[in-house]
Amino acid sequence: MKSSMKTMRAIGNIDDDMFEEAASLSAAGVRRKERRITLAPWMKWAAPVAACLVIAVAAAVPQLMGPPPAADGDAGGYGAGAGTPNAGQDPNGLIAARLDTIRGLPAEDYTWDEGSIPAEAEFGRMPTNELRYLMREFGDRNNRGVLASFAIVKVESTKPIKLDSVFGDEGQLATCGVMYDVLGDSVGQELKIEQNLYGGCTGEDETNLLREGGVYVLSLLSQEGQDHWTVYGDLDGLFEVDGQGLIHSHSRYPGMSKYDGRPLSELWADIEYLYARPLYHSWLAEEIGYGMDIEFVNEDGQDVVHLYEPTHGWDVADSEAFAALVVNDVITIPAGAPAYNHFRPFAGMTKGEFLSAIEDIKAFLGQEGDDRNAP
Amino acid sequence: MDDQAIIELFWQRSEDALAEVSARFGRYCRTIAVNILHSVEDADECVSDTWLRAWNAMPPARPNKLAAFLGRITRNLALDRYEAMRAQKRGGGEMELALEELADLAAPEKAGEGEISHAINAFLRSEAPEHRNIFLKRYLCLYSIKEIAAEYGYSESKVKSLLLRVRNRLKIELESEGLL
Repeated sequence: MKSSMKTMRAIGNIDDDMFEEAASLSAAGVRRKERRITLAPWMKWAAPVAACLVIAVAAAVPQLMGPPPAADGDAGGYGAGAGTPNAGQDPNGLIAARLDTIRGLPAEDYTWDEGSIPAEAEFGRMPTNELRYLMREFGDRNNRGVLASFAIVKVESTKPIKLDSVFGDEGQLATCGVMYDVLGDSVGQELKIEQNLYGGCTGEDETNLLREGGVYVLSLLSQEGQDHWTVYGDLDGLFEVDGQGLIHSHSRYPGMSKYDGRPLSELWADIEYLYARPLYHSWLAEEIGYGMDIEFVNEDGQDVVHLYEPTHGWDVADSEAFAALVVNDVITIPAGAPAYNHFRPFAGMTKGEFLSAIEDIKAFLGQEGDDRNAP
Repeated sequence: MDDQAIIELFWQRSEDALAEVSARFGRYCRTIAVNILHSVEDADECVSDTWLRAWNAMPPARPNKLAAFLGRITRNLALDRYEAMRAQKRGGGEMELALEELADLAAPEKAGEGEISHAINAFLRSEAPEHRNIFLKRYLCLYSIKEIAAEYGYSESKVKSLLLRVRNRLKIELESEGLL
């Protein structure tokens, strides 16, 4: 590693013009991120959500639901009758009932064979085996000038396209209608989804490409200014709704395939549950999954919360304290604390509420410890 | 205020120079340091030290490109601090990953940093601008693969693949120069 450091230092001695060129790009990137933070849709309601979490988390009712679906899949009129975005909760299960009227195409039970992905592309692939990890990616991405959303879409038409990608040249552009989305602001709209073909994913005829007439629950990303979306993780965030309204993940990961054969409303409730808490809930879920430890100590006459982060992801023994939040009547963020968005929602919580939030997430996860590497 | 005007303030020993560089380059230098150190507090100290180094360096220095001048100071300070943190078993983050990625380009002890720099400089000049910038964003600015992918609108896989190819080409170049 010592000699890698020498190379690393040597890179810093490049000519000024190249340094400045890279630096100016970085600066542009930072500006874009900032603008995105300002405009990110979820930020508009993040603050009220954070405030409400004090109550909602303590109550431990994981049923934040968005607006009712615009129309069911049988009717095909996804744009009709769009509801009010983020209209509220679903205490009587009416929204869930409507979600479960959505129907897609008959679907086969098969499992993606990742071995069919080109080796070059596989090199960079990080499989997502839990919904919460997908959410963590979204949380990060929303802070980086990338639009990210979960949506239930119906595929109106598809056409083959040629792509310049490490995944290969073959691709497809699908025109889809949004039946439902986590932010509630795209219902009824049309969007384009670009995919690379993973041919022979199953060793048979199935591919990862969206099918005309099909209904899918997708994790979608787009760059600002881009006219199309991509499926994040593709083989991972690609849930199919069958002709009976049941889910097919085609995933070999238990964390995703646990939704197989379950009603759409169950998957969507979990998506809403995680996605509606981008500021800390999905982050905590991830960190707890990694083995984050929490400790209350008394320092200089005041209670302090220490959050311990495993340095290398999963080794709890190798963890280090990376944040200390002061607890008086409520948690406050001390001056000079890391200015990560993750910590801000803790401010104002009592110790009891904070612990309730932790227990709530643990109950939701149903397990502790990192299992990302599990097949 | 342009670069030369700010440099002039340094030469006049005006403390306004510090306010100007902080306002104009503070976020940029902080980003470089955070990416290396994975710690906001350590990064902020690096940035403060950068202004001090710049204050001590100008005069006599009169850099042509202030961004490169300051960024290089910040980067070197952050690398120094990173090595100290590693000795205390702190660290982690993108720097750790980037060093692992550069393992194939690890220079032997006998190779001089100046020679390596010269070879890397010439190599990067021969690369396509986009490839060069992506390489530099990763190994100069220590941006994560995700951030670079988001910046360029590429998949993370594509960025990793592109970096691998550039590293492989650089490896061949360094080997041909007898530096590996």
